[in-house]
Amino acid sequence: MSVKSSGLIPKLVFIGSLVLLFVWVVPKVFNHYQNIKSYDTKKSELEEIYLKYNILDKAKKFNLEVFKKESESIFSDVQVEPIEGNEYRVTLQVDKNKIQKINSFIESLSLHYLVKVKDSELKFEEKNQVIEVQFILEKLY
Amino acid sequence: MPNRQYVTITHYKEREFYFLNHAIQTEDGFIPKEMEQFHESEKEKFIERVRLLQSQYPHTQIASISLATNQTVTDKEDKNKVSAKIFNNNFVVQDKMDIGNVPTTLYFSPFTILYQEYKQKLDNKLTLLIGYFDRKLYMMFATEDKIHQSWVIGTRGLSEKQIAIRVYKSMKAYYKISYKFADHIEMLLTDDSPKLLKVLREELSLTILPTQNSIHNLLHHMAGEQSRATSSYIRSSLSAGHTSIANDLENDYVSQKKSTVSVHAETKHNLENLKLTNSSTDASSIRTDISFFDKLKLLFSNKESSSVRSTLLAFVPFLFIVGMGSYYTLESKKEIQSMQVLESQIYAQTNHALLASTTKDVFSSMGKSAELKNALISNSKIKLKGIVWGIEPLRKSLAERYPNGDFSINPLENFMTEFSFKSKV
Repeated sequence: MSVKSSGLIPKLVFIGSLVLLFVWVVPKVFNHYQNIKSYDTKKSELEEIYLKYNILDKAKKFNLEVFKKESESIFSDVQVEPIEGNEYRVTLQVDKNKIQKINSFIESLSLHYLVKVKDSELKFEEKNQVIEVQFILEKLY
Repeated sequence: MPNRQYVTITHYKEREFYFLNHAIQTEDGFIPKEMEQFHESEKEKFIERVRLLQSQYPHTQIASISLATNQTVTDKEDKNKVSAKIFNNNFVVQDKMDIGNVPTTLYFSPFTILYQEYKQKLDNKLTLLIGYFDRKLYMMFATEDKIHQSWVIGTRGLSEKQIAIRVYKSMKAYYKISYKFADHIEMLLTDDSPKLLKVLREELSLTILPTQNSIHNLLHHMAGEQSRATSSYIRSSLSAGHTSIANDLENDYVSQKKSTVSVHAETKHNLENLKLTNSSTDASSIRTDISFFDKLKLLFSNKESSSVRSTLLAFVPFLFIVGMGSYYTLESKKEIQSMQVLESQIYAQTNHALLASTTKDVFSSMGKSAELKNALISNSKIKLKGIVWGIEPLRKSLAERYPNGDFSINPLENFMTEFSFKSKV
């Protein structure tokens, strides 16, 4: 008689709940704690890098104006132009005797801004005792 | 002497029709006349016909039936509701009477009719009495001394099998609150429905003893004898000023009383001396009440609500699990995003450090032996072009760092020498 099936729905719901618990929820909880552990490890790794370079402030999101203004305090001339999407063409000029400024700038660039140099590629050109460096910056997020 | 006959006029409304009948009461029973039917749009005509019958037969009772679904059998009194005493401490109660201003002197409940029909058969075993009136099942679980539970179940639009399932569910619901199944079932049908009986027998596997009778005949029977009518018609316990229906009934009673005073005594079992006043029946006109606790008990003892409750309860852990799963899924997504930011930052930093190191190496290798014109430096390759001042020191220096590099020189017209260097890093 169909009346006997009246308790079927709660049973099915209960079985479905158990299946969801073990197939979906438990792995997600497990992943959650694994993610926390991995995140903490990566964070420690990054903090060590910051410590190595003696940088206290965390990396900020890229902003064209801020980046240009801060770079101008280091280099004699700074040009930043957006290309497409999250990419910007950056042209810096520095006295050829102060080429180490480029190195230290590039070395700590992603510790100050959430950016990377596209293809890790720098183009140098000598112009009247001044070295012009060109690269493409790509926002990380 | 037709005008001295005692006549019961019966009527009820089913859907949009009024059904009217009258019967001559005799000592051997009643003799019903032809049934009449009126559409609700002909209400005035219907009332006129009732009044005409009243005028034709001065000694009449007008009986009707309450087909409301909100009536229940209980053992408590409620002064604010209308009630009919079935027996001892059992009463049918309903919130109000609604006879639609149609003349009525006796107003019965299907439960009282059902009890009157089967009271002789009741014993100490549990009997389920089912009355099928106007597509509704009036159900009572009764023993000889008490009516234990009652339900009214609508069945309009249901198949015979679905009706049988409703009956079965009611039995199961009753079992849940009393741990007793009905020992047998009695059924009173006001419609001729052999198919319903057949299905009930098949589905419930019980011996059901059916009785088929029309509502008119049942009402003629109820109104035909004083003891039956006085003990079981629905009376209003509301004050006279409180309800016009109560007034109507009272007025009808008064006119009826006047007309019945002169009826001769030979028909001792008819209603000639029927006492319908509250004062004469104070002892029996106990109003009933359903306490809050009873209402709760009914709510939770009902099979359907129990089923719904268990289904809802089953969804509690389900929803909790879905909520928990959703929360951890979202958290996991956020964590993965945060980790990706960290990873890409570390990766970019590593590449940049390597690039800075390569640049430093290149310029260091050139030293004062060359002057750069242009260069492309990356983590995978270097391409240099410039003016060389010391060919061998430059070649040696570059070869030390990039042994597989391709070094070439090109004398220029101005006595200077151009160099170019390509290598993988």
